[in-house]
Amino acid sequence: MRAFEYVLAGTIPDAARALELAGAVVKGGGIDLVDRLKSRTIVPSRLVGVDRVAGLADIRVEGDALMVGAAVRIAALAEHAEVARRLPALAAAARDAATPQVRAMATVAGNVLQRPRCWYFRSALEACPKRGDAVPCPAIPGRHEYGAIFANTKCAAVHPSSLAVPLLALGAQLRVTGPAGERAIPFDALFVGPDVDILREHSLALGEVATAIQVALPAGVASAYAECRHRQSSDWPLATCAVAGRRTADGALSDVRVVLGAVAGVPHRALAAERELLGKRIDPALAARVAEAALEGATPLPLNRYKLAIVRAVVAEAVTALAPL
Amino acid sequence: MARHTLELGFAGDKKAVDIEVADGTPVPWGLDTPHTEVGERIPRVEARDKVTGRAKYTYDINLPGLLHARVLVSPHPCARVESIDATAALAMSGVRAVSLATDPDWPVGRQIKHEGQEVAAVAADSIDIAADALERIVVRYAVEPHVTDEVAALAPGAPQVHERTPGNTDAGRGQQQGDRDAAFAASSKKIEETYRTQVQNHTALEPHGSVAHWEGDRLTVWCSTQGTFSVLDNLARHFKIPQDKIVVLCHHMGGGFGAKFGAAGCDRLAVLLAKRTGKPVKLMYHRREEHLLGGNRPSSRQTLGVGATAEGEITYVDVDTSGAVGVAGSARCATPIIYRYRAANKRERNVYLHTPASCAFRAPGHPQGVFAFEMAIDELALALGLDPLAMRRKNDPNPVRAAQYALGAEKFEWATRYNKAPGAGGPLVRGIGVAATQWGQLGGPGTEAMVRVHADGKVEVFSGAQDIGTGTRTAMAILTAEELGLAAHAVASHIGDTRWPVGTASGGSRTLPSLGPAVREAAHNARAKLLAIVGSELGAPVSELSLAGGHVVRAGKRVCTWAEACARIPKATGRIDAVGARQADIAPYQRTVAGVQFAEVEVDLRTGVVRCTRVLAIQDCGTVINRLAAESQIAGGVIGGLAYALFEDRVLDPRSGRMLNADLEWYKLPGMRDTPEITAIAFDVSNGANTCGIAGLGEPTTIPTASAIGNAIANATGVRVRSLPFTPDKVQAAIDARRSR
Repeated sequence: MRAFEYVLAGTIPDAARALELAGAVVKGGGIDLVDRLKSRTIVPSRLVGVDRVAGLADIRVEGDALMVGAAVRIAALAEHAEVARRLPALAAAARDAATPQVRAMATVAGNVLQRPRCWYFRSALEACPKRGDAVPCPAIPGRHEYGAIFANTKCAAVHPSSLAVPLLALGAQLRVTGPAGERAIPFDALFVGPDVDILREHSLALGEVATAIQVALPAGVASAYAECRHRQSSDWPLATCAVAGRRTADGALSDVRVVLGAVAGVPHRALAAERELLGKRIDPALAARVAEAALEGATPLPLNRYKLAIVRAVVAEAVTALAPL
Repeated sequence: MARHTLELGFAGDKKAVDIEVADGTPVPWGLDTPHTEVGERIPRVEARDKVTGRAKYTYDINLPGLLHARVLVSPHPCARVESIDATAALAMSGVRAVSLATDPDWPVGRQIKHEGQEVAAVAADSIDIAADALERIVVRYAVEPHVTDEVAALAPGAPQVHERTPGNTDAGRGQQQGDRDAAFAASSKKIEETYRTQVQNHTALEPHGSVAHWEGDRLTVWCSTQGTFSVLDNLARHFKIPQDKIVVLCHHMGGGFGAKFGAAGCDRLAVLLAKRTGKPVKLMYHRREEHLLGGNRPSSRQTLGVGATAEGEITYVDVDTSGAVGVAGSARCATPIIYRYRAANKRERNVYLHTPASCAFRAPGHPQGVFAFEMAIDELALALGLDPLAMRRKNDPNPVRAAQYALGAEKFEWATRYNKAPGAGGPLVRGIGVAATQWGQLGGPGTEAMVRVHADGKVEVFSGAQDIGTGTRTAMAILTAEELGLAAHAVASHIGDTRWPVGTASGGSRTLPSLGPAVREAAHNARAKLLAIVGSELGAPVSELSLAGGHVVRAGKRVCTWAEACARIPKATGRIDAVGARQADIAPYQRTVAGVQFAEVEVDLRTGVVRCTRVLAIQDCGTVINRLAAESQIAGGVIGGLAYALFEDRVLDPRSGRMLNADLEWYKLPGMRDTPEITAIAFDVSNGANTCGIAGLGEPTTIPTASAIGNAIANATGVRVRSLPFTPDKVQAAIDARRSR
């Protein structure tokens, strides 16, 4: 990696000021960033460390919302009793992510805002439109077996965040601070697909720093998470699914969301699956119909058709987990 | 000369052989020889050093003034270097020297016929400066058309990799035995299927590399190698340095698997840059370079035809293989036909590509050949309506494997766990499979050792050879201790220094069968010298004295302690040095070692994800010297085989020809959660090949795992996946194909 300046910010305003330098980037746990520094696919002028900002690594319940500081380590999220009790989908995604070493260092905001793991995007030798090269996506005619099966005409990279999937299902918001002050971005508006802007995956403005993830805790909220991996130790999932909603008296869910991970350039809301699931008593047959509906609009590439069956399996598993006892 | 009857084999097949034992040489150990240290479970003598970081690998060597070097490699699979301009790199502060492919003394190849070919190297004050300097070297390439796909390489008009191999292919060895037509006619069941295996990279945890240090005209090289003496020889020849001016050191090394036999490009470049700068230079490949330059196992496409009589007797075996070797190597698939048969016909060919050269890799040719063969035998058994294990037991003439099948069937509960309704139920289905193998390596002469006994009682044993990771130090200590009547931990082992006695390269599973008998003979000679001293002081004939339990013993009575005996070593010298050598083979019980593995898998019928849940590996390695290390080595082989079966695969971009997963993220190796419960049994067989009865162990243990897993998948799902690795897409496709039938 090339030389850069390192600024360890003591406060969020300090961090925001330090980020004003052209080419400055935020460093949380550094898991995603250091990989890109080493592959020289990013050459920043300055790293602004935010993971020591006071209070940024706290998990608190505020009223009927859970506030997860941006610099909370994934391991801390996975081990948090209140998260496990009230947001099992989020706890499960945190527990299964990466390796113990990575979970001990990686921050929740870093996980949500990390860049894709696509091997073309990550290689300085390969031209890639996501890095600004004026070429078509090399993965589409090339090797895309781990690539997107939705919205994949411009870029086949999948969004790698495990946590983003349950967070979107739970209707979370990302709190950010920037030159224009503070704001909260709903996860629904956080992610940017390649058809909108291929160069980025999220809608944070230049100079904005994530400070917390806020998850509402309405009464009766239920959630489940399932993922499928090729390798059981430290592998990127082939597909993940989070389902969230509010339990109704008749064994069904209202306010339901079904979100898929590792299938598109952004965490993918399976709207047809949500319609299929909404208000119906959950049983294995419904789970299978929801799983089928989750594939509506899928456009698999030649080497990743197998992911359709994987999506069916993870959706069915997550839905079934919410069946009435 | 004395006559001696040597008991060989094992309880199920004993064989007595009369041999001559030369005076003064150790009597070979047989089946009935009692041992105190040999065969016990002895933790590695360097274990504490390794887990505390005290053990210094080449990577860890740090010398005053050390420079750090990196190599620049070609991003093109086929190109010519037109010019290299290193002016900007040399102008950087901290850059000390460069070596370029356009220099007359460039010590590596100049032709670019695969991605990753070295074109320049930089030595600098830090590894980061060296890496930055690489970016400032301007290489002008004339890029030429490449071919990195096996099918495309064989098509008319494909770019030619070598002039000497028109059409990018040549034939390997063919072989024909027996009357194939008659055997074919006698077959009531015939199977013909095509099996494929992928390119597997060696992926040693410690990459290739050296630290080179010149002092005047003397060169010291720390090298991550499996052949200290071959590195010395390579460097002496390449740089025209007298052999006595070079010392090669390898005290600990982080894996080789067949790709670290000699001085690689990085090793030669380290020596050159050290010479040029007058400072010590460390050059280790980085992970990407290790993937590209660190060796690989060729792919294979194998069509097997096998037949059997209605009673299940194997009649013929047809093997037609081809494999992509890259720019060089051999795609030979070893298909040892371990069963009785009437006719066999083998054809093979190599396909050349603009990809890195393949080279020896743990049991070269065997994992791929045995994968196809043991799957085909399974398919034949099922076609005949026979139990696959029964089919093997019926056709396998080897008495060791016969005992191993029986032991395995019982321990793995074959009869009850064999899935009688494959593919039924689900979504998670279980099945078991078996595969058998043989390996033929018993070591040989050319390796020596030295044992040193000090007057204060300390014992040291020396070999210039390295430990590829199998526990050589500990085995040397055990063998020395056994001969001297001491405990293994009382002996200090020294290895990996070419100033010490010459030793074999660690290949072909030959280290211990070559080195072990040399150590035993050296210890035996030290023992004779010590007893001569004691005998002359006591006035006792040496023939009446022996060493046991830390004492000198005469007629069953302890005469004196080991320390008291050593104290009689004359003060003028203060020690005994004794050398020993591996002598010619004596009377091998068998020229091969036998192994059988059983695997259990769980397959998710919805996703095609395979998990291997249990493996039982039973492996003959002759006389077991250290049971703990032997079991560990068996488990290591199984994990390597599992990685080959389920995960490892080199992914190339179809257009650029570049490797896309030259890392440890997408080049997948199993982790803890992927590792099954492994039961390793080092199956004792007294093999009279040498005075210790040792046979090779490192390679055979990795051979049958992939086929056992493949057979287990078939037993679980009812479908056969004939292509490695068994990834979810392939398993799904096989399941879907059955559903649509």
